[in-house]
Amino acid sequence: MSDEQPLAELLQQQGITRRGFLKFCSGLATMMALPASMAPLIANALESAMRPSVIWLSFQECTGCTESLTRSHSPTIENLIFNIISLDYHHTLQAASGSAAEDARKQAMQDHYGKYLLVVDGSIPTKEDGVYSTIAGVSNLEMLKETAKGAAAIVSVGTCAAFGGLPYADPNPTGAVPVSALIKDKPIVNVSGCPPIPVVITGVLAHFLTFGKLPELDSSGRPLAFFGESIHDRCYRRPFYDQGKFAKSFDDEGARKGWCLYELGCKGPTTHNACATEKWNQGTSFPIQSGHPCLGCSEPDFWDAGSFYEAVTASPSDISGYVAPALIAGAAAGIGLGLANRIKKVRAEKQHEKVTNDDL
Amino acid sequence: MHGLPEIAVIVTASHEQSITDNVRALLAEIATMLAELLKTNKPDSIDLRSLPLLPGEYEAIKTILGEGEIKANLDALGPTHIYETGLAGVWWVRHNNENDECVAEVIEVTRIPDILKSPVNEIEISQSALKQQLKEWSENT
Repeated sequence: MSDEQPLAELLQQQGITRRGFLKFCSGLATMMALPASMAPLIANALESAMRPSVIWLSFQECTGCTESLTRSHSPTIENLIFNIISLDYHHTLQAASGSAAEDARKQAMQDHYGKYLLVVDGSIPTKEDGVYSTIAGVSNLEMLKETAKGAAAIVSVGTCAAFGGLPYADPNPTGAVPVSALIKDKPIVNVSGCPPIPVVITGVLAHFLTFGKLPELDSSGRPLAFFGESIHDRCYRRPFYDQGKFAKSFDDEGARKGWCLYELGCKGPTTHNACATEKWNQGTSFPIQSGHPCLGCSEPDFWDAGSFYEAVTASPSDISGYVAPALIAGAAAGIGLGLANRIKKVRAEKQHEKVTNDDL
Repeated sequence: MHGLPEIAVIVTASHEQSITDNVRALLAEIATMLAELLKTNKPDSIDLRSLPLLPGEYEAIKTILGEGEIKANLDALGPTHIYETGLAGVWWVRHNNENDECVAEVIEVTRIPDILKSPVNEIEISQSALKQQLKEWSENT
């Protein structure tokens, strides 16, 4: 497959008609959280886009991010994206091993210097010169610095690469850090989540393919299209929150009726992600829909932010001390709860509260 | 059983219960889009998968909009099912992948969805292929 061919031609060679291509672009528009009416414009942009080289580095991680992507629920679109990018290095997925694999990475870096997209999952251990995680005898630290030099942009996939994740949690024995702590001179987009939603990963790749640049980001470096709103804002249980209907335990009447899980520790109000709309498992459900509070896995330091079930989230009755006057208006109460949550979250982080066996 | 879609889950809601604020808001948006279509001929659309709908609301919207006279099925990268709803100019478009899983579901407010129109480059290819065939026949007779 030539790197110098426009994507539309590549798709045509795979027997995809113009209508199929338009349908593909409709899927991309949905993926990128763009209006469906953008599909024809995406089609026009993609017709002339060239096939990009992608180097994927997996560092201190559990492979959950790659599993999330490869087992995603809309394989046609995902496969197409992976067919039209040139995935030149991914040590979990590639057939080559040993020096042949490393040669492929170096060749891709040389051939596409300044143009390739670097995808990273996993945090980078820095203690003892990064000896805690190596690939082919090269520390993750050294490999990241070497590979980032010629990258057009970097996509940090998963909370470990974006914010440090589990390896970064106190006491952080390996000195793990996120990509953004080491690379300062490249555009970086954080696709956080443990694991991240597959459609968000491919949405960012699709955006890069379509527009030739990274999407607009929030203050934590995440794509606004997917992380612009909180889980709480997009949650179908939100009307119960507004009505003051809360489940008090996992087996009470409120839980059975599907009421808001706020008092059971739901981190939806302080968590930004697209789970409530994109969902998981063929679009079937997401944790809150399955009756479990959101853990806040796409936020920085979520492991150290207190118990999943109690410590971080304030009970609505706790907020009076912070913003009693705000209780007059429902909307203002939401702001008050957010403030209370943030205060508790900061306090918990300072005290390094842990999730205990009792919590689980 | 081969997948989650085969697990029968039927969401039911009484008609009275189903006219929720979300349903009213979405119908009001469609009304605005229809007005814009009439005034400026500008098409618009609503991505159904991006909406945080309560259980039963999706079914309610589908029921209220109803089905009109036109139905079309497209077979490209999996099936696409398109029909004009009971409201002229309001189309329900569902794109499935080759495993028959939904990849996009959209309400399009337009005279006809773009994907149903014959693409110009394919018309050109068809025209030249037909001309070539006619030429070959006339040469052989």
